[in-house]
Amino acid sequence: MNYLQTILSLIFLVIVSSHAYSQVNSASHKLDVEIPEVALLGMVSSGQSTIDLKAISPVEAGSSIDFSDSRQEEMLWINYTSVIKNNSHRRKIVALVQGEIPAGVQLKVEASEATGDGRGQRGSSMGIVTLSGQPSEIITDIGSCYTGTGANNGHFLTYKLDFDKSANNFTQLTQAQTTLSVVYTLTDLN
Amino acid sequence: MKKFSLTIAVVIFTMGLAFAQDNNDTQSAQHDVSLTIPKFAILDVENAAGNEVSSIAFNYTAADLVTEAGAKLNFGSKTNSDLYLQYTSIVSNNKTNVISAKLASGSNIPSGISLKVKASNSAVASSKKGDTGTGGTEVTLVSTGSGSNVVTGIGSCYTGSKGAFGHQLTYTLEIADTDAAYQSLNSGSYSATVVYTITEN
Repeated sequence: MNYLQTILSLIFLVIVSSHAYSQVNSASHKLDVEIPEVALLGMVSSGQSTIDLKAISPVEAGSSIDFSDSRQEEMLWINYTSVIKNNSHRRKIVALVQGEIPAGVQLKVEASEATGDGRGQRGSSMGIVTLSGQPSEIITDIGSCYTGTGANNGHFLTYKLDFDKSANNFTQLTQAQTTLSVVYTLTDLN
Repeated sequence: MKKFSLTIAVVIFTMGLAFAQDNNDTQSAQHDVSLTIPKFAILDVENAAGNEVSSIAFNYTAADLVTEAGAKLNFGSKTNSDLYLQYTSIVSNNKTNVISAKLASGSNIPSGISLKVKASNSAVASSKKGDTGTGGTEVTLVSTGSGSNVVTGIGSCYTGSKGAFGHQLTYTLEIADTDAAYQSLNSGSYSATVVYTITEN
């Protein structure tokens, strides 16, 4: 009787021990990602970075001075990479002039629409903008995007000189040679 | 005297019989022992210190993502190789186990960004025994479906535990080079849960 009981309890022990392991056949962990805002602007010139604009003397006596030929020779490109903070956040690019614009003269700039290798919500041009010492918006509605780097990517900039057509400003034109700085800034639109 | 000896002999013989358990009186006795070795497959994810880790982090700065204006965002500038996949396995004849990986539902990682993971080709040699599996394939983690295999061909084996043993896991992130991926990207804090499962192939 004792012998039988011993055998039975041994069998029972073996069965119990084989089910004592917990079968954990999956494992998991969290993965957290922190993505920052990004706002990086750069300019690339195909030549020198100083743009020369000259008003051309008229050929015909009595004619007005022609500013329309004051073309820049250098190719200037704006590149940027942007990550915004939510779906309604947008950025813009503004430009201002440091230095004295000669009296009677207007300095204007026009950004092209975005072109080249970029992806995402690149900005739109504000067309021809007259520059001053205060920031003027030249590209607007920039979301998360990149334009691509270097020439032929992003927005091409064209400068124009014009004379101030408001009354009597022609009288203010005097001989001048001056160097100005134009500063571009990528900043929040809203 | 003879009668007495015979009686004693008979008594001894009878007593001997009384102790035997079976009906056949021989010098050996036998019985069957039934042995069951069950199929077995368990796994764990630990760091090199041998601890389970509740989360790993990718904390990007703007400089991590881009250094030249106009360039693409470089999510690959950070990777994580802190974690090790460890397992013990007993398989049936001619069967193998595999380990698959997927995201649990509820991940809010931006839609244009993919999470990828690769297990090292083989388990760390110094601690493993038996037929551990083969890794080396980078997979993209998604929350739909049953997951993608990161280690295959696992036979009966163990990788070792409580240290830098098993298959080292390398995580990377990548943004798709599409308008939609960039347009939908916002800064912020995001999270996913990665789930590994070992099953019979």
